[in-house]
Amino acid sequence: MSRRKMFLRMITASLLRRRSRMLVALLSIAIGAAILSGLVTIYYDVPRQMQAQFRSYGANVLLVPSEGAEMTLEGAGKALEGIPADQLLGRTPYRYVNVQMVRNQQTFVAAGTDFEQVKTTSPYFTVEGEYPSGIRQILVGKSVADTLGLKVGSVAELSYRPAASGSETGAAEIKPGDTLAGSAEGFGQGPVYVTLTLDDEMKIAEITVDVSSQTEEFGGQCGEEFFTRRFLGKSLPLQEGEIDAVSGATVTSEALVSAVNSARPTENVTAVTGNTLNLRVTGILETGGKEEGYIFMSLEDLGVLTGENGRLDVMELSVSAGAEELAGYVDALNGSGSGVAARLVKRITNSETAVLGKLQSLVFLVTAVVLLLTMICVSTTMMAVVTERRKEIGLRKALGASDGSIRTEFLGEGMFLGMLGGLLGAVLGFGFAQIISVNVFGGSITLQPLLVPVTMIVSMAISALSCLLPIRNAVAIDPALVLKGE
Amino acid sequence: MLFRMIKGVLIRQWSKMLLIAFTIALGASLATSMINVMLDVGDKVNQELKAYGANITVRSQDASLLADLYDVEDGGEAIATAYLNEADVGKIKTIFWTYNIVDFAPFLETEVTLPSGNTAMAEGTWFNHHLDLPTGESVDAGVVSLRSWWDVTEGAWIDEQGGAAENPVMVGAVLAEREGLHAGDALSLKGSAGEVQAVVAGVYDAGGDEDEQIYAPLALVQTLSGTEGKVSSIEVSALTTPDNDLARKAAKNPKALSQRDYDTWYCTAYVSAICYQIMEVIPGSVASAVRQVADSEGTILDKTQLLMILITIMSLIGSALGISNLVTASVMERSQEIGLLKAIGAHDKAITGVFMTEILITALFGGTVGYFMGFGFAQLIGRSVFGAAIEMKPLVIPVVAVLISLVTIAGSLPAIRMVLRLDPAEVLHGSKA
Amino acid sequence: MSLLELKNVSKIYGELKALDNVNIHVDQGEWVAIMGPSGSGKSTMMNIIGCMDKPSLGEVLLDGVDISKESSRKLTDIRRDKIGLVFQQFHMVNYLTAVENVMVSQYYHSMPDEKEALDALELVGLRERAHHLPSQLSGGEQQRVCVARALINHPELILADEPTGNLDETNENIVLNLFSQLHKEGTTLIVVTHDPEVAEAAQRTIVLEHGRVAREVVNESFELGRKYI
Repeated sequence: MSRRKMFLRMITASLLRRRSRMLVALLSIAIGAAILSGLVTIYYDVPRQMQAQFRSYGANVLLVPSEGAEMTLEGAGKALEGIPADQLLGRTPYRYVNVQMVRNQQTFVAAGTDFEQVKTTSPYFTVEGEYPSGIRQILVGKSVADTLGLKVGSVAELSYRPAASGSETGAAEIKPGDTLAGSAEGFGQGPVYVTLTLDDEMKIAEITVDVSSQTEEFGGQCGEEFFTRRFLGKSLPLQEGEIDAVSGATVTSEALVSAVNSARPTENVTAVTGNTLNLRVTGILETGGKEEGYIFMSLEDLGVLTGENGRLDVMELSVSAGAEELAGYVDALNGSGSGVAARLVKRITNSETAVLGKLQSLVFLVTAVVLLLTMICVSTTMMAVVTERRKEIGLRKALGASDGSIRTEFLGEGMFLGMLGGLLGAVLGFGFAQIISVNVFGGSITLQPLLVPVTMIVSMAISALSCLLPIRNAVAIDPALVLKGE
Repeated sequence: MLFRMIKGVLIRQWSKMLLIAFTIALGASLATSMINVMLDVGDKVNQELKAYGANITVRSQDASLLADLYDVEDGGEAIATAYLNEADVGKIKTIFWTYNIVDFAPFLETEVTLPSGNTAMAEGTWFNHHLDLPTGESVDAGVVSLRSWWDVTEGAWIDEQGGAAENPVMVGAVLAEREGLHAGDALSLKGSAGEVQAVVAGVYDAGGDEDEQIYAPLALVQTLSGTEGKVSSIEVSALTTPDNDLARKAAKNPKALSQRDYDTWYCTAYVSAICYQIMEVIPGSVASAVRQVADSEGTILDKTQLLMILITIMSLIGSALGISNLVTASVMERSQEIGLLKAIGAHDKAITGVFMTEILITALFGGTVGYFMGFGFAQLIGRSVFGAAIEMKPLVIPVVAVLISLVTIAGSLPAIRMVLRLDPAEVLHGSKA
Repeated sequence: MSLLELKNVSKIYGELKALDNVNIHVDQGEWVAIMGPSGSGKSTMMNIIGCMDKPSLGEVLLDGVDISKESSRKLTDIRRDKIGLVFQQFHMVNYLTAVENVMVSQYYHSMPDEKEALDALELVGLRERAHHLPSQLSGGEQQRVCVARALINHPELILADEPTGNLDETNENIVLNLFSQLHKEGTTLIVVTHDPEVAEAAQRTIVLEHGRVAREVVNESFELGRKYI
């Protein structure tokens, strides 16, 4: 039998036949290693997992059309191909238009969006009732609901007229005999429309006005003949004070004047009339922010209402990435020339970087402290286990073992224990990290394969180191004293 | 005699007992620091989350949010009354949860015409306003900390407490570029009720709509819009407790709660309770939670706390096993001694008593040292991560004490029993154990 | 020819002279008993002879080499190569079997050889107990394993410290018989004891008192009696 074989035989015998003691040591190393690997895994995973939590603050990047370009869903989708799908947690398109509530002609901002995506980019939206899930359904902001007395289940009739500024389509030359159309914002942002015909002398020959968006008893008077008559025979542009305003409807009167002044030949004016839709309120939105004044509907419903398609004003993105990575994506999007421009939502990104940094250093320090203490705990246990065997060391010395060979034997045993405990601990630690991850973040953790050998090496080093001191003390002792005394 | 035996062990075998005491001290320090950090992490992270800005906005009852929506700045009768009094703003610091109010600032916006003829929104507010409270205390409040994510790219924040030029304003980066404005430039602002010669004190990059606005001291905007002493809204940043069912129920209608629930709710720093208390002190106001900030805060706080709780539990289990392990080992090591005591006629109970007393005295010693070590570790973590001391809760002391005693007993009692079961002769013979 | 020679050896602990100018010599193949009451210096002498301690004064010649000046490292080598030790408390590695305990000695000396170790156990009559753990062996059996362990490397000197102190009469006889057998094979034996009966088994008894050699007795009955065969 070779010396090596005897060496192994002694170590295995020591490990197997001194089961309870060795279990104590093994357990202690395994616990230490489990805490080591578990905490290190968590330390590496916390930023990733916490980043996802921070996404509950909502969008951190905005995509807007770059200057002079239009943004569509497809266009934005193409531009976003550069961001990995698992990092792009949400992308919510928004199109904002002004709509009127038919009942009282009040104007509100309607937002066309995708509700499934809203849940990802604005998880803080508090909805009483439900998000719309079918066609002709809307989510109204709390202050809209309060103003209009809308409840979940109510039906709201909304109408859309092209924005007052929508008629500025080129400065076509106005010729005698032309029919012109124009519009302007009246009271409460409601648009007023005029259509007029010029005579040969460029004077107004005929005029019709649409003031249906105005309050009936005030602005509504401006639609009556007694007022429109005042425009006839006047030449363009109208001077200030040329038309006497209706008392109690000054704003509407002035709006009609500016509508006339802005009127252009009809061939250059796009839609003049809008659409009306009945929509059911499925939910009331509470955010404490300006969204409470909006009416949300699906992009499809908004398309039906406005007659336009695919145009987006903004796309909110929720991207799970660190500050530098995020800046990289934004630069890439801006440089892609795809007709979109990306903007970082600074309030969200800056604060996230700051808070996340603190959290990570918290976990780091906690890990460091826990590790330090655990390793000392492991060492003391290993020391106790070795110290206990002083007598045996004395005997071996008396039998002629050199200090070196005793050291080798005990270190070998300690390192073997360290290796075994490290392996066991790495497995336990992964389980522990997994439990924390599932419980805290509701997601599983990725195994760092490198961590297994590292844990084993560290455990081996620690158990070897902690054996060293008691072995040194033991071999320094006179064998005679150990054997005789006690 | 018992005392002498224990004294003998503690004094003559001090190195062995020291090892146990040391391990227990480590375990106790781990428990102390982790539990304290765990209990305080909520407050600390909450403080950090204040970087996200205000979580409560206060407006006039009549304003609701419509002014915001329609961008109707002036004129309309409904809007004229929709102000809060500037004099009431400080009252926020007099509510029950006054110490949870981290920061606040009033806002008043008006449209101004720039020398170029373009118009821009001017936001009047406090920057670092000094306020003497009726309670005799004084605070500094304003947007300097409420807008912590802003980058002042040129010049500096307006200092309301001296040193600032007359009529300073801060201009958003986008607006500044469009208008060619730089720090130090003179800027004439024309509002609906007056004109002011202002000086650009700084240019900021906010990464949002504010980049197209002008931020100016409240009084300046009040002069421009002719609304002296008025503010349109107040933003409040408060430390809050994450909402639970009670808070949600209370948020709908606090009056519907039973008296006990109401008291609980009122005396907890729920965002809805703080809103309610603000409404109580500021007449004619509506305070509402900014869900984006308030809810997200709740999520992150909950997660962080849960994370710390689990890490704490894990490290407590770890140190508990470590301690009981060592105690077990040390008892087994002394099996001969136990055998001898048994052989000379000691009862099991007496032996257990001696050993337990020794170990518990050691544990007491180790635990005391450990508590103070843990104190140090907790402060180390607090200082280096949050730059603030971790509050040491007295409650932790009995918790740690009970924990350590339980662990020590759990570690030593089974081991003592095991050794006691052995035949004394066999133990003394030296071959067993 | 003398194997061991102590010349004017003294061991002084502070005020106390554990050994005081001791002179003895042991010939090759001789069986010597060292006797004396507690505190007479037996253990000190045993430690010095066993290369586990060094004298304060004097020379110790083992196989012609003065071990009193050697380093402790060198002493370990000498002990390993020349001396087999048997203790009163047996001292076995309690997680190793009988044969493994014997092999530990081989391991430190040269090469572990299980067959040789088993032969040694055969010699002490424990062949069939070779794979038992110390806890499964009686005291006498354990001491016999220790004797096997002591002689496995064919030491020039077997040094036994109260080898029968913890044994009953039957086992004592077995161990003394083993010694007698080893003696016949030419092994030098030094047995430290306070038991006159054990001492009588040896050829010569050196009696220590207060750290000095009080007298030396040649055991007349050794060749005649042959009590232990």
